[in-house]
Amino acid sequence: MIAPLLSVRISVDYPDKPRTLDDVAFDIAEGEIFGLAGESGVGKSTVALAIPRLLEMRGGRVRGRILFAGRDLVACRERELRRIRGRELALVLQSPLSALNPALRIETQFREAWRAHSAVSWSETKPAVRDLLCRMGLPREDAFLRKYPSQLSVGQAQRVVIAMAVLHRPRLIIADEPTSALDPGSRGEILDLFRRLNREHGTAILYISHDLASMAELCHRSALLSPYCGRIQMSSSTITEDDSVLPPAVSRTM
Amino acid sequence: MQMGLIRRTSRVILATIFAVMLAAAWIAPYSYDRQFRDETAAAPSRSHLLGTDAIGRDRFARLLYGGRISILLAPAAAIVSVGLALIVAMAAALSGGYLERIATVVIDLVLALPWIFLLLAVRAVLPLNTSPMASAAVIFALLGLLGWAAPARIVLAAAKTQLRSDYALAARAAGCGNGRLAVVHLVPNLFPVASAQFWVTAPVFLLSEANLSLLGLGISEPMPSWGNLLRDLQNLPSLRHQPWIAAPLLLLVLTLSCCHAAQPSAEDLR
Repeated sequence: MIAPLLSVRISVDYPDKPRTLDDVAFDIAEGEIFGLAGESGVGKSTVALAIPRLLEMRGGRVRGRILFAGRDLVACRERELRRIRGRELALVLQSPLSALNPALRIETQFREAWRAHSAVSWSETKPAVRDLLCRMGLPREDAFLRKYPSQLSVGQAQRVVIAMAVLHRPRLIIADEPTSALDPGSRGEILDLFRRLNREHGTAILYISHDLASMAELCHRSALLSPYCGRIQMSSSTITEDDSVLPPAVSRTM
Repeated sequence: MQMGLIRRTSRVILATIFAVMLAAAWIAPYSYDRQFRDETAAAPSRSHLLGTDAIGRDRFARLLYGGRISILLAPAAAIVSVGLALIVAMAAALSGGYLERIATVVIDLVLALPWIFLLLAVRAVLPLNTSPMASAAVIFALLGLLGWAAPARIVLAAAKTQLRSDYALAARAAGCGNGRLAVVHLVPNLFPVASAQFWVTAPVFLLSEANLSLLGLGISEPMPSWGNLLRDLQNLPSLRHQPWIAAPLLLLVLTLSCCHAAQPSAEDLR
């Protein structure tokens, strides 16, 4: 059997809330879209931040192991984590407007994301980035790159965030409720975008959401994070195929 | 838009004062140390717009030259202070944990320092015949190097808020290191706070120089400064007979209030 791209077995403690996640375990295969559902406050975002080891920035502590492409991220040093973040493992946050730096132009933010992992100069890369914007359904003009985040619509901002996430062709994108801030129209378009990224580049996606309908539409496999023991309750081929995603009250009794 | 009008007016006044002081050498009718020995303590006249002082120097010329040093060096010292504050605050916020606690303790210690005694001590160490320019430079360098603590505390709080934001998280998730995070992502967002701190600190330094010079510890004679011009006011009865000697005081108060009124408002910063 081929080893999964990502294999998570973790518990998470916050100083004032120990065992926020208790022994959460799931695997994601190469090129798979894996859905993680759960009601709000159950720790879905904690999972999203724990995998790239960014939870420390929010005061959390991760125990266990996170095997990603043959390395244990829990044991990795910060230096190595920095090389993995953004290059092999990208993160798309829930609220696109706050995920972009309000004081920087879009171009500066792309340039910074590019420079973090590449020695190729920005002026050589810019045409490729414009093509990327185009494929993301964004204008490719300089005028757009010169804008500040506050001048974008939420849908545009989320496309920018996703474009920045795929800049280095990561093997896994962690998308933490990427559509919950969007209107239904752009929601569908963003989901299409993820589907295309997955099909064209074989990018694996961890899709975290409380929107079961979108999850059923997008994901190959899904799981439910139950609030009572922080345990991944079940893993099914798709949510719609077998009706195993139960309301929390039911899953608690299981 | 009443506030906008006040802000704009005070910026114009400040710019005018700044320009006039910089051009002192061309505007002033005489040099600041030229003595008119037969016209000591004269009243204002056409040749001496603000009269002359006790040893016959033109008060108007001394007022112009006196402002030059203060108005150049106080903002420079404020820039040094706020720059240091930014560096210390960002380093502390980024390293977090016990390093941040150490930085906080150091900030508290510097804030608790009786700086007037420190300046006294430093001034005492300097040779008596220190040139006026050197004494001015030393004073403002010390002010700049000691004044970072108050802005640092405020910038530290702001930096911590910024680091908790989603964009800092996203920058980290993109593989951004501490240095780039600080310089590229944090500085532009801390700039409004830092610039407000600059506008608060610069007038404080102007006033500190005036206080020190009043004590005779500031800029040494014969070089005028707003502080040592104020020493003439120590003799209050003479103020009644010669009200024009209050001109440096009025100019100082005007400059200080304009500095405070010229600060960008919260709406500007958004």
